[in-house]
Amino acid sequence: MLIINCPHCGPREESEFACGGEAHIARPLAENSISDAEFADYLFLRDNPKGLFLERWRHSAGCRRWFNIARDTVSHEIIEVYPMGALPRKKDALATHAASWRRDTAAEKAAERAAQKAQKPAQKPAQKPARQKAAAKKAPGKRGGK
Amino acid sequence: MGLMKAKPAAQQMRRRSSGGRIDRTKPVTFTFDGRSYQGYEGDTLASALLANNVHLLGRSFKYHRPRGIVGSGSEEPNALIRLGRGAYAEPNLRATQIELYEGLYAESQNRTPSLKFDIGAVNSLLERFFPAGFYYKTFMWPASMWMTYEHVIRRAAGLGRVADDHNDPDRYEKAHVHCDVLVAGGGAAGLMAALHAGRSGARVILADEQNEFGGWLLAENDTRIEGVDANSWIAGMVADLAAMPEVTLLPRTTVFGYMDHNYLTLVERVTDHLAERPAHLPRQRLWKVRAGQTVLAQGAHERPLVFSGNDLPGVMLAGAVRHFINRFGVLPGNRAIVVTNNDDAYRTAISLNEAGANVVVADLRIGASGPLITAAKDAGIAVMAGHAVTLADGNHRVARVEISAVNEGATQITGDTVHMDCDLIAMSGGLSPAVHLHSQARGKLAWDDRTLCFKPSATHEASFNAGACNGSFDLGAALREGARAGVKAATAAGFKAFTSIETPALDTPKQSWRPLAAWKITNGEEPGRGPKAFVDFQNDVTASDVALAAREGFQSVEHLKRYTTMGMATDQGKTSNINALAILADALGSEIPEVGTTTFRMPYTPANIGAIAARDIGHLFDPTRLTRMDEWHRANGATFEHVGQWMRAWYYPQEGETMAEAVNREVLAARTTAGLLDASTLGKIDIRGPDAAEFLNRIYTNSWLRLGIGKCRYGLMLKDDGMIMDDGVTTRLAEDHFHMTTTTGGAAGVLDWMEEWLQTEWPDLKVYLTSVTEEWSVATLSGPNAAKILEAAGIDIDLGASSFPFMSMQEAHLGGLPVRIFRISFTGELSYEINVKARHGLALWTLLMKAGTDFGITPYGTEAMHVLRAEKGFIIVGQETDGSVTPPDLNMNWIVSDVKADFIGKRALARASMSYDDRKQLVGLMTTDSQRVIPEGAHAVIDPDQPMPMEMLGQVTSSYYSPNVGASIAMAMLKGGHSMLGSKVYFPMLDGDVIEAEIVEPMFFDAKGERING
Amino acid sequence: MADIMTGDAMLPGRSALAGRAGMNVAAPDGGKTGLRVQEVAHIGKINIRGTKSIAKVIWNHTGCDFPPANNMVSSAGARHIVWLGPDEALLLCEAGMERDLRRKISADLAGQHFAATNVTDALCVLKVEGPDVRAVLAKGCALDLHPGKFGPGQCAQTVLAHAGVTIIATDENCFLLICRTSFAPYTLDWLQDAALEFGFVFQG
Repeated sequence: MLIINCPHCGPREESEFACGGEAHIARPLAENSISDAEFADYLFLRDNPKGLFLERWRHSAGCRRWFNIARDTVSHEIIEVYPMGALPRKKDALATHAASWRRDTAAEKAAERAAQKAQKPAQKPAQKPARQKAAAKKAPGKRGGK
Repeated sequence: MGLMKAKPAAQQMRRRSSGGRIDRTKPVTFTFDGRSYQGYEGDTLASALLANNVHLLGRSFKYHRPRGIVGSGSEEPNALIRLGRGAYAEPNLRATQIELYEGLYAESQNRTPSLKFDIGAVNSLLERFFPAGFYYKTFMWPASMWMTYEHVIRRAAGLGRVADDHNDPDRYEKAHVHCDVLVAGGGAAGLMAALHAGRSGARVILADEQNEFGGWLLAENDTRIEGVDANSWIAGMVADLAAMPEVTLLPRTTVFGYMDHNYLTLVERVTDHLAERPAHLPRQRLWKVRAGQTVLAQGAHERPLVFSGNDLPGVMLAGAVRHFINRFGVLPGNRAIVVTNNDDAYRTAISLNEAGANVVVADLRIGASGPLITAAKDAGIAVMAGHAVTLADGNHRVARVEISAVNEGATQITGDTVHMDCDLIAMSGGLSPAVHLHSQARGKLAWDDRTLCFKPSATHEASFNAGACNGSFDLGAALREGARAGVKAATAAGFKAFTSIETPALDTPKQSWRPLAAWKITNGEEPGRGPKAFVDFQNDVTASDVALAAREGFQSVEHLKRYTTMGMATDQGKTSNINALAILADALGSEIPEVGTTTFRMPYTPANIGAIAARDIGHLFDPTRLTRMDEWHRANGATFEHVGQWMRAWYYPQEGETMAEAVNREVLAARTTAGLLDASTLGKIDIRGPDAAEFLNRIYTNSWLRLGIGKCRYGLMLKDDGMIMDDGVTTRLAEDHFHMTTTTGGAAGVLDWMEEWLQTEWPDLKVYLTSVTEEWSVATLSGPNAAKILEAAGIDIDLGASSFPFMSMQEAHLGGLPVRIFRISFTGELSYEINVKARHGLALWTLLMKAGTDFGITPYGTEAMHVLRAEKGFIIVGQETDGSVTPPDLNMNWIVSDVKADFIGKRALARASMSYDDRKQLVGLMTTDSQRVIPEGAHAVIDPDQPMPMEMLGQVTSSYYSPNVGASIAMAMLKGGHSMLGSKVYFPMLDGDVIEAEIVEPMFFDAKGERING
Repeated sequence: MADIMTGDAMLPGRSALAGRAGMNVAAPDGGKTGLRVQEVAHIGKINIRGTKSIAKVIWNHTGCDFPPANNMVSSAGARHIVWLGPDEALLLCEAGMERDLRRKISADLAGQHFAATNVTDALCVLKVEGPDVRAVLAKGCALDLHPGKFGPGQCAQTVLAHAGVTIIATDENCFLLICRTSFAPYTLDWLQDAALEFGFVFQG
C-alpha cells in the first residue's frame, strides 16, 4: 500500500486514489487521418515497464483532482508528483518520457498537430500572452495531459 | 447429587516446586484429547502439557509420525492443535503460544482414530514411496482423475480441520494506527529501542507476540542487568514505557506483515487468553499501522540439528527446554542429552542440572572450550566433545540415543558408539535471526561466515534492525543496538532524541556465538539410508528429500521449496530454512550464500481471516444506499433488489400474490390507469459554465448546442473505443446550465469520467460539475391518468401538451411543494418525472398516492419498470450492453451525429471492425409458444440439432412476460441480427428442451408512439 | 463552529435519518458513553466551484475565505467554508438561508465562471463526539487523527469504512462527518457497531 502525496490534500493512503494508467498519451482527433493501426497505438497499447513509469492518478476519495506521478514499479518509490499537462522535472522522469516509443507514433504526432490547430482559433487577442505561456508548459498533446 | 468430577490423574509431575513466572496459587483445569489436566495461570498449553509429562501432541503432515513440542514460541513447527469446540474451534494453533485458561479445550490433529493409534502412520512404513514431490509424481495422470485424487490427498495430507459451523460467532475489530516509530519485538533490544524512541516524545508502538514483554530474557535466570535479575529489569523498563503518554504497549500482538511505504499489519489477541470473554471486546484486533520508522527486534530462532530420529517427541530445541524450566517451572525430562554445535546449549545443560535432571552433553566440536563449558563441567555435567547424537529412538517418545565420536562436520563416525537411555534431547544447531519482516519489506540479507546465519545487510523501507534479528546475539550488543536504533528511528522521524546511550551494566555468562558448521549428522550408513533425519518438521521434509530434489534437478532454492514443500505452510521455514539451504548447497557442491534463500512471505504467523474482515461482514460488508421514500416502500410490503449499492423497491406484492402476479398487475396499471415509481436513484449532475453545451457536445454522440432552455434530450455516452458506457436525459436549465441524469449504477462513474476529460483533455473548457443525485427525490408518474392525478394533487401549471410538451421541463408547485417536472417517458406512456428537494421526498410520494387513489394509482417497482421499457424496446445500459456494444449495434445510428467533427468514440466507430456483418446486434424475439419466457442469458442457435459444441449466435439480454402484449417478449444480441428479421432461432435448454422464437423488431407495444400524450 | 450546531431554526420536511431510534448501547463499564452521534439537520449547504477570482464576492456574503487554506475550514460566525479541493468548497450556513444566499452570491457573480449549487438535501451532517471518538473513527478512516495532526478547524475528504465522507475537527473530541444522505443510514449503523466497545448514543 503506497502513500501518495496528493498535490492538494497531502500524503494519503493509496486506497483513496484511482490509478489512470500510463500518462502522456495524446489523443488524436476524429478528423486526423491516421490508420486504424496507428489509432490503436492510442486506444489500446499501454506500457508496463519494470522501473520508472509515468502514470496518471486521481485522488478519487479526496479532492477528485488528477495529477501525474513518476513511480518506480519495482521499488514503488514515487520520485515526483507533477500536474496534469506538465512534464516531470526530475531528470530520470523526463528521460523516461522522451524515451517512450509513443513519442514517434502517428497518433501522437496527429494529436500534437490537432492541439496546435485547436489553440489558434480559440485564442482571443486579450488572452494571448497568458495562453501561450500555458501552452508552452504543456506536453505534446494536451492529454500529456492525460 | 453425587455427581463428582473425575479426579484428574497424577497432576503436574514435571512441575518444579518453585521458580518460573507461573502462579502456583491459581490452578487451571483444561482438557486435551478428552482428558482433564491441571496447569497454572501463566502457563501456555505447551508448558502445562509438559508439566503433565505429555509430549505426544500430534501426527505429522505426510508420514503421520508422532510429534511433540520442539520450541517454546512462534517457531514451533510441530505442536499444532485444534482449540475450542463447535463453531469456536480453530485449527493449527501452536500449543506454545496458547495461554492457558480455565476450561480450555484442545484436541490433537491429523490422527485417525486416536493420537496413539493412527492409521495414517502406515505412510511411515511406506516411506520409500513418499519421496520428495511424491504427490506431483503420483497423481499427475490421468488428468481427469485429479478431482478424485485431490479429495483423498486433501484429507490425508491436510493439517487441522476447520470449525464445523462456517459462521464464525466471534467479533473482531480492525483499526488504522499511525505512529512515528513501530518497534516489532519487545525483548532486550526492543525494550531499549522503545524507551529511547519514546523519550524523544515520538509516538511509539511496541508490539510483542508474547503475553509479556522481555523475550528470551524472561527465561535467563543466570543474567543480571543493572544489578537486578532480568525479570526485575524488564518490569522496570515496562513501567517506564507505560508512563509515557505517547507510547502504546501491545503485548499478545504479532507484527505479521510488512508492506510498502512502512505499512504494517499487526494482530492483537485481545480476549483469546480469557476464560470469560467480555461481550463488548473483540476476540482479536487487526492494527493497520503506518509507521514513520520501524525498529525490527524480533530476536532469533534456534535451529534443530539434523540427525536420524530428530523428530521424536522429547527431542526439543535447547533454548526451548531452558525456557520451560526457567519461565514455566517445568522440567521436560529427567534424563537429558544435550547435543550442540555451540556454547549456548550449555546454559540449558546447567539449567537442566540445577533443576535436578541427569545431563550428558554431546558437543560436535572436538576442541570445545570456554567459560560455559568449564562451568558445566564444574557442575558435574558429563561433556563428550567431538560427539554427536547419531540416532534417537523410541516409540511415542525418545527413549534411547546412540552417541558416536564424529569428525568435524559430523559427516563420519570416527570412533565408538555408546547407547544411552534418555527421555529428553535438547538440541542446538545455532541461531537464525528472525529476518522475516525485514525480508518481507524487501530488505537484503548477507551470509555471515562467523555466526553461520543470514543477517540483514540493507533495508528497503525506513527501518532499523536491532539485536538478535540483526545477528547480534550477545545481550550487551543487543541492548546497545536497541538503544541506538531507537534514537536513530526517532531522529529520522523528526524528533530530537537523546544521543548519549547508556548501556546497562551486565552480569551474564560469557560465551562464543560461533557454532560449528555441521548440517547433517551421519547415522553411519550411506547417505539417504537409515532412519529419517528431518529438516522441516511441519512439512515432513527430510535431509534425503532435499538431496533427492537436488539430484532431480530442482537446484534453485525456490524450486526446491515448491517441490519438497519445505518452508511452506504456517511455519514459513522458521526452524528449517538454513539447514535445508546448507544441505542443498552441499548436494550441489556449492556454498550457502550462492544458493541464497527463499523469500519470506507474510504472514509471519497465520492471521485470522476474521480479524482481517472485522466488521466488513453482513450488513456492513458493503453500504446499502436508501432513497428518502424508502420508509413508504418498507411499510407497504415492497420486496427489494440491489441495484449497485442502492436498495430499490422491486415489486409490491399484495396479500397472496406471487411475484409474477404482482408484476403483471403493476405493468397493466401503468398502461391503463397510472403507475408510480421511485426513481430517486438516477444519477443527477449539475453542469454549469459558458462551455457547458460544447462539453456535452463532446461527451455525447448527438448535438447539444441548440437545445432550447427548458428542453430535454436523450443522450448516449461512449467510451473512446466507441462502446456505449451510459445513457440518460439531460435538460437545459439556462444558457450555461444543464441538469444531466445518468443510470443508477453509472452515476459515480459518469461524474468521474466527465471530470477526467475536463481536467486532463479539455482544461480550457469552462465547465463545473456538481453531483446532485441525493439533492432531489424523484417520483415518476406514468399512465393515462397521470395528468389527472397531478391536477388532483394541486398543480399550478398548465399540463396541456402544447404548453407542456413531451421532452420539456417546468418548475411548479405540487400540493404546495416546489417541484421540477420533466415530461419524459421510459414507459412510452404519458409520464412525468417529478423532482422535489429530498427532504420532501416522502411527502411527495404520499401526496401522489393519496391524490391518485381515485385514479387507480399503483406503485410499481424495478421489475415492472423493466417490463414496461422492454415492451417499448428501450435498452438498459448494462443489460443490453456489456461494454462491447456500439450505437449501430443497437440500430441507434439516429443518435450519432455525422456533423460534429469529434466526440468521444467517434474515431473508434469508424474502425473497419465496427462495421463487420457478424457483430452482435440488437433484435426482438417472440416465442412460438407465446406463454414461454426464455431465460435471460440463454444462447441462440440456428439449428438445434447440430452436434455439440453448437455454433452460438448470441444471447438473450432481456426477457419477460408482457401482460400488455399478452405474450412473452425478449431482446437479444445476435450475430448479424439486423439482417435476420423474420428468421427462427432456437434456445436449447439444459434439460434438452428447445425454445423456438422468431426474430422481430425490438418494439412490442404502441409501435407508432401514440400513447405518449396520454 | 459551536453556534451552527446549536441553532434552533429547523428546515421543513424530513431529515435523512428521521425515524432512526433505539440504537443506544450502554457503556460497557457503566461509565461515560464513548461515542455520541447527532444528526445536524438544521444546516444549509452550498457547494461552490470557482477560482480565487470569486473570493471577494464570497467574502462579502460570508466573511469567510474562498478558497480556504488547503485542508482547513474558514469560519465567520454561523458561516463556514470547508475546503474540498483547489477549486471546490462547501459553504455551511444557517438553516433556511441557503436559497437566498445562493441567489445573492450568484447575482453578484453574474458573468463570471463559477458554480454555486444548493446541496442542503444531498448531504447529511453528523456530529460525532465523545472520549472515544478518535478510536471509533480510526476503525474506518486511514487519516492520522492524532490531536496534534488533525486539530480543530482542519478538514479532509476521505473514506470512513466504505462511505466517502468529509471530516471536520471542531474540538478536541468532536468532529463533523458529512456524507451523502443515501449513505447516512449505513454510516450510522457502522458508527454504532464500531462503538460497541465504548457505548453509543444517537440523537436524531
